[in-house]
Amino acid sequence: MTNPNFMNGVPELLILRLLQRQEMYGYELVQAIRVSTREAIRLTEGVVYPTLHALEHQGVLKSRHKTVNGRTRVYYSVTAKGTRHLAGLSDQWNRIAGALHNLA
Amino acid sequence: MRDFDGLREQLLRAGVAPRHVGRYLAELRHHHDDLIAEERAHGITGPAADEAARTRLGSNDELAAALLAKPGVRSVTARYPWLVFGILPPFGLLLGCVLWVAAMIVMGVKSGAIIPDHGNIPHLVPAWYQWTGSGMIFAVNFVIVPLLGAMLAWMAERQRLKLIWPLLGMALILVLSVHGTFHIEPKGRILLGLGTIIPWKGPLGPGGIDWPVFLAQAALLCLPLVWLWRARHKTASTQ
Repeated sequence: MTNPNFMNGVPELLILRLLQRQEMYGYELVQAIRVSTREAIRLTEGVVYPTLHALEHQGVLKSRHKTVNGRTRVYYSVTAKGTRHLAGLSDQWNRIAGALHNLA
Repeated sequence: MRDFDGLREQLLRAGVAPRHVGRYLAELRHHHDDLIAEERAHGITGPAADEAARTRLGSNDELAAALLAKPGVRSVTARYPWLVFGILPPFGLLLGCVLWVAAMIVMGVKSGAIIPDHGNIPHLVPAWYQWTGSGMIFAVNFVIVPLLGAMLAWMAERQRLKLIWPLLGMALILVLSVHGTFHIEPKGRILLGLGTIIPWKGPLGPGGIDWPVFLAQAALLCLPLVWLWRARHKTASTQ
């Protein structure tokens, strides 16, 4: 799925859901998106970073630098505000999904 | 390793704040390295691995568009260059000098070094006060002003702004403000002056221009401009 209009809000929801399970760095997160959506959603991988930075700026994510095998990674995780934000987003998407299901 | 210089230039020229650019590129580099490692693990090596990693990471245009679509990534310098280069430097310097003059007056009166409204009564201003005044004026004229000019050049280069902006800032510094003068007349009258190329007679001093100081400041301000011009020339020749 690549249509920007239909993708609106999807990366944010995916990112928050995946990061709520465990903290991840960018590459790890993109691979997790591919696996968890069974490659139904394939991002141009580099564009995940502006979304991560924006979410961090909004206070729904936080980041920390961690050195693993001699390489410094920026790990992202969900804040308390992010958890509340995710709950709201999930409700919204569940309603949309329910409506679509009823149509079908 | 993928060269992100082109993307860096693209983002800076679009007005993205250097701190956002730096962080974005650092994470993209790490991601690119991970992608190369993944391709190698799948038996793809050399230029083919690099090509595959580039494709997955995204083109410069895609990566730039993704960042530019986010609010709040453009720097104040890029959004309001007229404010940063046209208004803040001369008025900031002028305000600094006014505060300095006020400090000199307060310090002089409090310590008894100067006596207000002493009329024609001779008063010997102590040497420390004269040295302090002269030293601070020297610092403003030949340290602060050139440093401010260098800072403007650095800010313009950092954001890849047109040369006209730092040039404007430096010209305004020279024309509107500030070269200070500090004189003690034989009868003890102290003249604290803020020189400007525009004649004015302010309450703080005689105003007017001290040409040797002005020319020395102009020469010092040319140095960062030369550096900036060379930096631009170098960047243009490498692209």
